[in-house]
Amino acid sequence: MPLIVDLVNPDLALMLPQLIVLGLAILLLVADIAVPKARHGVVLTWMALIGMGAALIANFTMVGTNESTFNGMFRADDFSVFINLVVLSGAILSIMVSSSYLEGHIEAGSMPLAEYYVLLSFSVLGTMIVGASGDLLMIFLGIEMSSLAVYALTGFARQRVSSLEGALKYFLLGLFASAILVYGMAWTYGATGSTNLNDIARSLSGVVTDGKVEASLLLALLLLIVGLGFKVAAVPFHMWTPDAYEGAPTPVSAYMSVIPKVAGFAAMTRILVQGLGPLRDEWVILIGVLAVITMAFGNIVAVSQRNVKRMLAYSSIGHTGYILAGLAAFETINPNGEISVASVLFYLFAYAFMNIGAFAIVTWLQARGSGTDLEDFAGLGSRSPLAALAMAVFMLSLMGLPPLVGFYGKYYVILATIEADMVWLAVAIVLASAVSAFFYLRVIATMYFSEPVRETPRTSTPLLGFGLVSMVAGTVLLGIFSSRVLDLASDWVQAFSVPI
Amino acid sequence: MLQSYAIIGLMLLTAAVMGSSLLIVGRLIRPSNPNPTKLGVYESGVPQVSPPRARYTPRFYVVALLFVIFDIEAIFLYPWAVAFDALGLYGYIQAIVFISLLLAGLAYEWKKGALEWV
Repeated sequence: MPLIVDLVNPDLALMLPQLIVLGLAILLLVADIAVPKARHGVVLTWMALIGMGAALIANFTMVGTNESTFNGMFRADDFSVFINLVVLSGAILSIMVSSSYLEGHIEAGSMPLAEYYVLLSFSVLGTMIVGASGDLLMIFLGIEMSSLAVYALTGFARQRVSSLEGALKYFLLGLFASAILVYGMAWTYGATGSTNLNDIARSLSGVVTDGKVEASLLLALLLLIVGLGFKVAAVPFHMWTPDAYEGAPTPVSAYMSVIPKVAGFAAMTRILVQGLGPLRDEWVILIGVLAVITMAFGNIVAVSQRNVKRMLAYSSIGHTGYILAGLAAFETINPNGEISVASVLFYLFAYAFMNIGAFAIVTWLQARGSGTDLEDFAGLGSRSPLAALAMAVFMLSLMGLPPLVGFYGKYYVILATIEADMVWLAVAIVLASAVSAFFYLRVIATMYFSEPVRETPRTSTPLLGFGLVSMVAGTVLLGIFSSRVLDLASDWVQAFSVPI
Repeated sequence: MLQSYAIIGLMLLTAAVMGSSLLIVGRLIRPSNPNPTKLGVYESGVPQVSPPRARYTPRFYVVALLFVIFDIEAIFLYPWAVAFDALGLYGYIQAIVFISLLLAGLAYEWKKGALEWV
């Protein structure tokens, strides 16, 4: 009975990074009741940081593996390694941003630290599972695990109505999206007879040679794209984003602007490229049109925002558009020179550093008693030059200025679109970036050329400061070493090549 | 390809027409004769004593959650017990891990005071 043997001896070594994060989540729960309340801030934060760091180190030992376990449900390959890298770095940076903000609220008892880190760990675990799944069911499981934790985190400032409002909107629309997604998975299963991604690709490879696609398969494709479009906040499925980002506690906004998005894109790549890759001709145009609408809408609406958190929410919609454009440039799984998925992965990594960084500065200001409106940034350049410099670096990187990592992210996406003969997509990216320059530069102009409205009191936030330094360093250095990172990202090709 | 999209459109249209027409036809042909007894909440034939939308304590939620935890534990332990010989030591260790995870959850809930019923 081979089935029993495989179930009894799953290769747990392949899941090491995921198991470490799971262990961390459970240990944090235990530590919540075992550690005295007064020492929570120090102990729990360092536990979370060390746990995520250990998972990151374990992840690096997996580079180059290409195996699956649990009957093909779980995969450890270069794609999952890269997704883990993005997610764990994002999580470590978010924890650094969170700690001072939450400790400031411990007195009031409104934001229990332990539950925050537990929810964050489970959300990270869910995203890692999506990246490492070889089956539609695992993708759904991972996405739900990731989303449910983030719904709760959005409403974490439970005494503030806007936080609850954002959480409820996110929750209801997220549930709706999940239902659509699972409906699409059901149609995929109905049309192909399998939920395993490689089996789906194998059963479809005959369909493509006929050049005719069944309506049922097309319906599955549409439902999957709509469901995942909600998760990555692509227009027209973005309605929850601004309210959820604005209402959530700022460190949570930093976290949820990156990690659930990574989960969505990991799922999109797994499903569309690995599973439905043979249907490329059908979905590339859908994703391409979605990309153009998303980047146009996100960037144009961001122009009229006076609240920096809301502005960053719309700007993150715009960035979703760029990443979708990279996915739309997919041609075929080709070991030599297929760059589209590599550009998606690289962009996600770059985006994690610069976007969490931008939210970290907002958190930094809030820790000093400031608000989140554009006026609160007035004169920051003279009040605290280092914070203003960091914000300027993040803004310029989000805009896409050359030596910084944001430029390389956009560069590879544009390269991929041109190689795929989709010049219209490249033109759209350039135009959208030109629009985005307005509101990113406006923040810089407010910081340096406006009179300060208020003072910035000195408050000690060492971990946040260290996080900010590492994010600035990442934003600058990742750009310089971009070709090394891109090489790592390009290894996904080996992982997805299906033996037929 | 466009033909396939036409089929999908037709399917969506059929679903919309079917759903709405059932509701509309029902509204048109059913007799409408409301009275207080009919509009009240059905409570197994017993007269209603309090408004059904009363607020109730979230402790019920915690109890329900506990029930689910132990229920699921039993469901997963039963097949393990049946296939104990086939699964061997590895299965035994896995079951221990599973139970200890649930125990950690129970300890957390206990310590947080969720079990104190006052």
